[in-house]
Amino acid sequence: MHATDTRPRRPLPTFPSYTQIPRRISVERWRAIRLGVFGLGLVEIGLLVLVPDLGLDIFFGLAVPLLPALWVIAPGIWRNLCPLAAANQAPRLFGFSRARTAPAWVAEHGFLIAITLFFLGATSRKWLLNSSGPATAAALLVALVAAFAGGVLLKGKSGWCSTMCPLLPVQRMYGQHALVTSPNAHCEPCLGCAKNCMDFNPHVAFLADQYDDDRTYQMRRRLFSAAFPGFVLAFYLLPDPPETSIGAMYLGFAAWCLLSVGVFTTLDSLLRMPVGRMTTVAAATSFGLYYWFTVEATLSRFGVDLPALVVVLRVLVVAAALAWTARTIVKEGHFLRRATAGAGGRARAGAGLGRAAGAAGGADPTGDGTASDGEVVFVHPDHDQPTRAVTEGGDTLLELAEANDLPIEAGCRLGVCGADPVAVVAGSANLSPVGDDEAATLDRLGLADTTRMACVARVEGGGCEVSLVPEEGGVTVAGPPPFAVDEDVQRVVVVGTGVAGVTAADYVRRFHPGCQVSLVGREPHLLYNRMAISRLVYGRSAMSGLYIQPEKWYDDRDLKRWLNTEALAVDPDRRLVELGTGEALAYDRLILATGSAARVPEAVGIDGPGHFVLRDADDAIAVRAWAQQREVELAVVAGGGLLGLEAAYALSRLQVAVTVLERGPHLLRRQLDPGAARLLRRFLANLGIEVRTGADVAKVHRDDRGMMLLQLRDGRRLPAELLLSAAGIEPEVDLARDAGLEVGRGIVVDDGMRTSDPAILAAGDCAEHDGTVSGLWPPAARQAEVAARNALGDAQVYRPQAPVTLLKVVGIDLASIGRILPADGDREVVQEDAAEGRYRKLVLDAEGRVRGGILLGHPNDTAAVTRAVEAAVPLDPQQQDLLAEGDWAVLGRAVA
Amino acid sequence: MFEEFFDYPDDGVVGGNAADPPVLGASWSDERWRTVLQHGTTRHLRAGEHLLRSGEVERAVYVVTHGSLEVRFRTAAGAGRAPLGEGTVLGEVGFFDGRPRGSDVVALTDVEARRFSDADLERLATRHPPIAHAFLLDLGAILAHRFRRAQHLAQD
Repeated sequence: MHATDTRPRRPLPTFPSYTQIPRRISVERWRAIRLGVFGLGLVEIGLLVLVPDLGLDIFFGLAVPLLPALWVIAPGIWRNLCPLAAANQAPRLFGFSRARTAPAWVAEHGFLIAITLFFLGATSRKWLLNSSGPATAAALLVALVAAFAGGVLLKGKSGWCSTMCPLLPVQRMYGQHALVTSPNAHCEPCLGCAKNCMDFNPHVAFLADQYDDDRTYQMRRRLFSAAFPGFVLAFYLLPDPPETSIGAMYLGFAAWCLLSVGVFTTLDSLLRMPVGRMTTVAAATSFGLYYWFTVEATLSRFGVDLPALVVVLRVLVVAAALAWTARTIVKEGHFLRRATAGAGGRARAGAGLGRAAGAAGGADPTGDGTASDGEVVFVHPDHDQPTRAVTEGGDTLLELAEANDLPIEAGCRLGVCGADPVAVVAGSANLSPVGDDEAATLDRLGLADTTRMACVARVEGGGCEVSLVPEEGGVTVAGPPPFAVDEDVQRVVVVGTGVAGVTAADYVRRFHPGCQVSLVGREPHLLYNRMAISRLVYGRSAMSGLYIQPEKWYDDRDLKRWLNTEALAVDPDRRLVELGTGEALAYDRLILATGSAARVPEAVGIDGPGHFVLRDADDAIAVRAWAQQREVELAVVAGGGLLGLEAAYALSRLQVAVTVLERGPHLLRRQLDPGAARLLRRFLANLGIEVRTGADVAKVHRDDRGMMLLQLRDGRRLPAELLLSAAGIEPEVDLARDAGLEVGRGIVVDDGMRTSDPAILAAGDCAEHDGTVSGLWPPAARQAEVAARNALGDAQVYRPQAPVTLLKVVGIDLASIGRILPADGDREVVQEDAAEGRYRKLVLDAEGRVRGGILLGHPNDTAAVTRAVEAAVPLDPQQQDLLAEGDWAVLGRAVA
Repeated sequence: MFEEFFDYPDDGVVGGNAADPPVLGASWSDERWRTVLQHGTTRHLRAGEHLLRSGEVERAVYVVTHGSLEVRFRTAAGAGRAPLGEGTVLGEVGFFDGRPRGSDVVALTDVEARRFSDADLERLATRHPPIAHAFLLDLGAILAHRFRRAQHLAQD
């Protein structure tokens, strides 16, 4: 620092601090020059006393008129050479400063003191100093002593130069955009003694004042800028005493200053400008006015009478003022950009990020626009750039899309419902192969060959490019049916527009293009993603996006729709379905896919305002409407099954306090064992969902305001504004029963999905096969295919598969597959990570075959476990040992 | 305020310029960072692609882990742009208020960023409540810092 900086020049920041500004003159030289200037100052004081006329001419005729120009052009030179600063910094330089931190009042009021001293000093020129050398000398001496005392007491420049110096306000205003920057040669090192220090960063100090977040601090400085042009005018336009009284002179100053402040404030208010614009204009106006008058006065003082020179100099002054204004306005723009960039982007992440992220690898794009390893490029026609999501292994396209908030629907997550078709534009070989369920769904959807179901297309390595909007494929033209179609079947009626009904109608059409196919549905909607209806409770998208196929899909297949239509009765003898419209549909084959209704618990008074079920879209819409209209804060969900938990989560998203009542000892009794249920309960608690087990509603009381009081069977009570029953399903069998078909819990069917009437088949939730009502989409779709083919003369057999259920709410990836509790001779492999809330379990039979599993927080294992259970894959002892040690990749290898 | 212009080496400041910008996870262990990162997703961008887009609604905050970007914005003084580098935290305002983004952030090079959506944070909260709490407090501190800085810069 003591020598001239000879290091190679690096690009300077836009607003460098004094430590970054190249030093052309060493600090030692500055000190030497400063000593000389200080000496000249003392000589000048001597002249003012001993030869007042000469002293005054030098001081007010030369020094003072030059100072504003110096402050505008090279304020740093003055800051380094000012005799007052020399006096102030001498104690520090010579080591006898007490270097105390400035008291609060200095920080708070230093500027006010400075401008007061400035106004007093400048105005006193008119009645005293201009004509009195000794008085001026005394004023300078007082200032020197004050600056010196400040340096003795306070640290850095806080005792004078940066706080109370009367010249500082003008220096800051004029020096806000120097032509020549000279780095501070006093402060070694900087002690951080003053806010927005001009010596530390000369380029932004003044603007930083203007934008300071302390309004009082900011406004005081703006007030000075606002008043200053008026002050300059007053100085030159008001007569000097004794032509006027001193009191009148000060009143004149006050009036001019007020006028100036008024003009400043008015323009600042009327014109939409950055904060610093008016202060810039005020500064330029001030020094323009100053030199307008000073030029003539100074020349006249020294006997120069050249009017042309005055005009030339005045033109130069105005031009300089305008140029300075333009430059300074531009600079404010740079300042704002830098400052707002800081406001928008300077926060950083801690150093641990780099180390932790480094372990995951850095960006490794291919650079040619294609997907790099592990990178899935999602494109969408509404998005003008792709989203490049990165998988660290094993994610499905749906999981990646959801994690990146891309527009995609989700349903069964098993590749069956058809809610999430995407087009794989490139890299399809890097995805898991298409399974049977997915293939069937793709057939049903009839989209282009590039289509995959995102929920089961797993990234297995490499990258791929995926369009979130699948490509149209046209109507699937099936080849010759693989069975002899019964040509007597010309009219097929399907009752039910859920997945079973629509799948059945689709298969009938595929194998019998000439057959008349009628679809009758009670709901006003075409097939929609019923598994996503809980989103209708908290989402904003209503039904849009929930429809599985567009209306055109039905048109292309010539499926005659009867929506919002009740099938009132079936006449098996006449083979007629009577509709609520008064019409009757004749059939050769009837497929009943009437689905199921929500079961309502038996509790006294449960039916009534505020009680809901969640079975179809209209139910969800009604729940949302009630919650909004009543501003519901307390809700109870009766039922701790899959639907109940999804409903509870949906309500919690509406900021409703939710309590789930589960009759049994733990949640999801059909899907979880107690260990997994315990972790799940903790999850829910962290989501703000309370769970009460062994709890069953016995009675519901309602008061006049719609508030319910639920009385539980064990005597507990709890209030609720909304009660949602999620107590399972009841197959819709009335139509079948009235038609004389055999009915148990559901419509009893054989392995070919035929009811007790050979012309009538049944599939889906309404069907009871082998004593079981499945209630799930995948079996419903498979049953529908069997029913449709058999309706046309095939001899398909329905084979139930291990049930797979998935629960996906935020923070919970739960899969339950097949047998979850061990039977005699079975073995369990259980791994629990309580800290992470993860749990996985396999049930193996005595021969080591995989019979079931529970996965909580292990979504990447779902596919392998499902395939292993469905195929009852045997694991040898070595593989079982690996599993027990936590190597579940062994399952994937065994399945492959 | 304006610490980048007045990064004084001493703390004895009259009236201010002392506060350092807050840092997300300044005191977190590597292990804690790993846990946090596991709950986010990784995004790649090619040069010229937008990480944030003015007007877009997205409840997500990003941490740049690789590459360089540029923020582009408008103020009363006109359009501006400023470079952003690795470790920069972006997007927390939209993350908290769910309102449209106020500026564009564009990749200048190939970029990798970690993205944390509100759902990711909720997921983190269900598994590691103290970590999620710390994450949100740090984001809040960043937001408060920027609010203080921005409130006097905003020029409608």
